[in-house]
Amino acid sequence: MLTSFLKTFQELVYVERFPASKGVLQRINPQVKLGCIVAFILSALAVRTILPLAVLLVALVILCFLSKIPLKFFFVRATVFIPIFAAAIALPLLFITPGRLLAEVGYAGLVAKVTIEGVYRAVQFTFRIWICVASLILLVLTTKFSRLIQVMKSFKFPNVFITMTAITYRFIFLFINEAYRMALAKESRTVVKEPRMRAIRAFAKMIATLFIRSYERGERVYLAMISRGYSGTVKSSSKMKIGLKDWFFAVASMVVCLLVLSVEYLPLGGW
Amino acid sequence: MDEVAVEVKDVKYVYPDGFVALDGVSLKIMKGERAAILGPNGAGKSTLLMLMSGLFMPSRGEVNVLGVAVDEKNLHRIRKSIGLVFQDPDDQLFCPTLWEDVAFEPLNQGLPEEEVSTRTKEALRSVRLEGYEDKPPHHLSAGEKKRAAIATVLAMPHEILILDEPTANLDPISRIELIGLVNSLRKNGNMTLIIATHDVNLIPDIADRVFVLSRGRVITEGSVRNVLLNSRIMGEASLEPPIIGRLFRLIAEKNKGVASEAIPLTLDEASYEIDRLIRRCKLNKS
Repeated sequence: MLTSFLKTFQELVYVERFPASKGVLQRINPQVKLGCIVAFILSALAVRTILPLAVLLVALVILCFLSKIPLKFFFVRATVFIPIFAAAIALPLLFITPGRLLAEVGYAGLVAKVTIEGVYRAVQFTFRIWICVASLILLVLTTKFSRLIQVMKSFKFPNVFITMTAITYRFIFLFINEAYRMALAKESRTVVKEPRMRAIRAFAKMIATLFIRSYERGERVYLAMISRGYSGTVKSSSKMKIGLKDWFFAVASMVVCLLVLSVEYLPLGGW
Repeated sequence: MDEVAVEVKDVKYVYPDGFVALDGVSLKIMKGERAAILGPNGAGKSTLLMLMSGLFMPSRGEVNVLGVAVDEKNLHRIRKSIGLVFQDPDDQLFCPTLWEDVAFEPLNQGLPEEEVSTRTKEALRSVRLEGYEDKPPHHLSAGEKKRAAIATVLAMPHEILILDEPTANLDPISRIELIGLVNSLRKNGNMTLIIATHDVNLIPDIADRVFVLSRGRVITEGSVRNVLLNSRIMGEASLEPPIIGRLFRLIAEKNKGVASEAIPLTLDEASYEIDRLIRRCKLNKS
């Protein structure tokens, strides 16, 4: 089970075939792309109703289609991690938001009232988070990681943050592979079904071993870095040109954002 | 008089957990030499290379590189003159793409972008990895990773190139390619090569002199032939003479006077010797 989980995690997180395909977003300058995605996210955060978010959803789906990313994969990838967590966080909103009564949930005298406004706020909150996450996922799926790092550099992100991100990305798969090999080795030596407690203990030991291994590798990588002149800062060369298609994409994105904001302020009965 | 590239004087190194990796190691490697540090696993080879590169400081003794003592104030100079290729390329390649990894050192030394680009391209070309610039290191095969790791140190002109177990985990073809690559590097200049390995079959192809390290001590040093064919020394270091040498020694023992005194150690030498023996047999028959 552990091995299949690690394999699925790797397949879901590690997707490099899409940035290499020739879709619309893949051809856009990463700096412009990041700017537009940030504008999408800010628009999503600025609205309090669901309809404007639906406009953004349509825009994301169209971009996804034009960038040759399978819609099913995109929806799974955008939903599995953060939005599910966000939905859990939004649960109390069902009960604490004052408004018209929808249902009563309770047992033995302890009753919580679910309001229509509460349901609306919980759905809007989760949907908003989903749009933000999906926008970022679209950026990641259509941009090579090295280009993202370059964009961060060009936007003057702190050097420590960039170095840590780059090294994390470089080594996360190595460690997932290492964990996967350890899990396989354990499974190959597990002949009979082991008691739950023993399995948990073995899992804990594996985590500890992985921690020690990653610590030791960290030391070796640091030595390799300083042997090649590393002194605290990583210098880089990055030049990216902004062309006509990038300007066109930027204008189109701004139109979408304006549309989202104008829908928010149109009299559509609160939706 | 020959100049000394690396001199290690009575060095002891103790790890923080108290393990004594090296004790009383002394050796001298000359400029332009191809020196192999031969020893079994755990003999202290990697630790010795770390000391030579100034990544570790000795607990006792002294290390000099190109006449300069390896200490805190000379570290920049030492690291500039030494290119170290780690045993595991996954330690060496830490950037998201191969290009960034190879360009890491030239960029860190503050070279202009055009020169960085030229050097990076040239380094990748010399290890035959042109076209791999945008590849993430985890997409490379073991042989490609090893060549990429070498490219990272070729991007700057180092006077000394140190390779830690260069053939570890390589398939036969990658191994042959790597030997060719290492030898081609030396043809381009007077680079000093230091190779740590336990692969006795590799040494005749890429080294002129051998230092045998066992349990943290240098137990002998000398020419490749003298050291590798010395069964007593090899046994003491838990090693065996190269397979070609063992085969010809066996033939020589069974057929007194047939084989020549110089036992071959490489394929070329073996093929020459077999050819010589065949011609001699034909001559005797006629």
